[in-house]
Amino acid sequence: MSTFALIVAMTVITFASRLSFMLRPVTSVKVKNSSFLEVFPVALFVVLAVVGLAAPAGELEVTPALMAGVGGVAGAFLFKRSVLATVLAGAAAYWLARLLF
Amino acid sequence: MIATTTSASFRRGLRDTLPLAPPIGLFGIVFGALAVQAGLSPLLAVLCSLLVVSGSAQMTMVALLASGTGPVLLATTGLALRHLPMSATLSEMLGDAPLRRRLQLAWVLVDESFGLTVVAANRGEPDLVAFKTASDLVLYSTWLTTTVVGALLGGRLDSGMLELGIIFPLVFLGLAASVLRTRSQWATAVLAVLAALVAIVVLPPAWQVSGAAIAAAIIGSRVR
Repeated sequence: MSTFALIVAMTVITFASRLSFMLRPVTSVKVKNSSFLEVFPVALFVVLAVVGLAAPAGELEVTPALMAGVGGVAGAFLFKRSVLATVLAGAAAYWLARLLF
Repeated sequence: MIATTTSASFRRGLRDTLPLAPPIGLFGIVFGALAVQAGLSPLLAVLCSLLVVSGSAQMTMVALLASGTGPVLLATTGLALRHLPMSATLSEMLGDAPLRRRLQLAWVLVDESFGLTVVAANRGEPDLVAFKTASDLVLYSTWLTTTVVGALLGGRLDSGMLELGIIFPLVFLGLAASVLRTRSQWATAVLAVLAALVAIVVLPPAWQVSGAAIAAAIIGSRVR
């Protein structure tokens, strides 16, 4: 398969999954599924955060990124769950850990 | 009145997304450079960003290109699985938006714009279509233009010097904190931490995010 064909195949897979539930309006999702949809964003965001902070190179390891997570959580709850405060507090903790260790 | 609401939502979409443009831009430059270093022509690197619009899938492609097309497509499928519940969530939030808008919004259904749109919906944003359109516009244009820059820089860029890895996890941490409300969401957050740690150990990288997020949401949704 050429690289161009590979890119087209990746496009089809990615776009099909993105479009899956968006082709038609979903105005009455079944109650059974709506509780899943209520919590899925939280699950996705937390997993993306943990994977990036606990295993930045693909395997679990203790790095300054873990301190960024601690700083980020502290920033989020000290400053009314602001995304910007989370990033700034986490980045500050990260650079502090890099300087100290 | 409707036009006023739409333009205000569009402006808030721009305002909320612009802080993400610098890290997305650096990521785009790194992708463009690595793709060219992996053997893609600059044109194919840019085409990849134009069509696939997925930083994680595109980076995985660059990393696995030498292993053949099978591993790349398998990894793309694993990464794409998380779009299924994202698509359902977004579709529910958009109500009866016309098909043309749905196609447009699905094209750039990425983690960042999804997260910002969920947060906007929680605070009662009146026009989510306008909000996400603006968010997508910032992210997509940044991703494309910086891929061009990276592809032109090619082998002259040392991507290791850019400390990118730390920003995105922190953004998602902040997004998670901002949407936590109910008991089942809190339980899901704790479960997601555990599921992610287990997934890192037992699953291949391309399946970790989809597998852990879906498992945590299935169990967490049963908590009352």
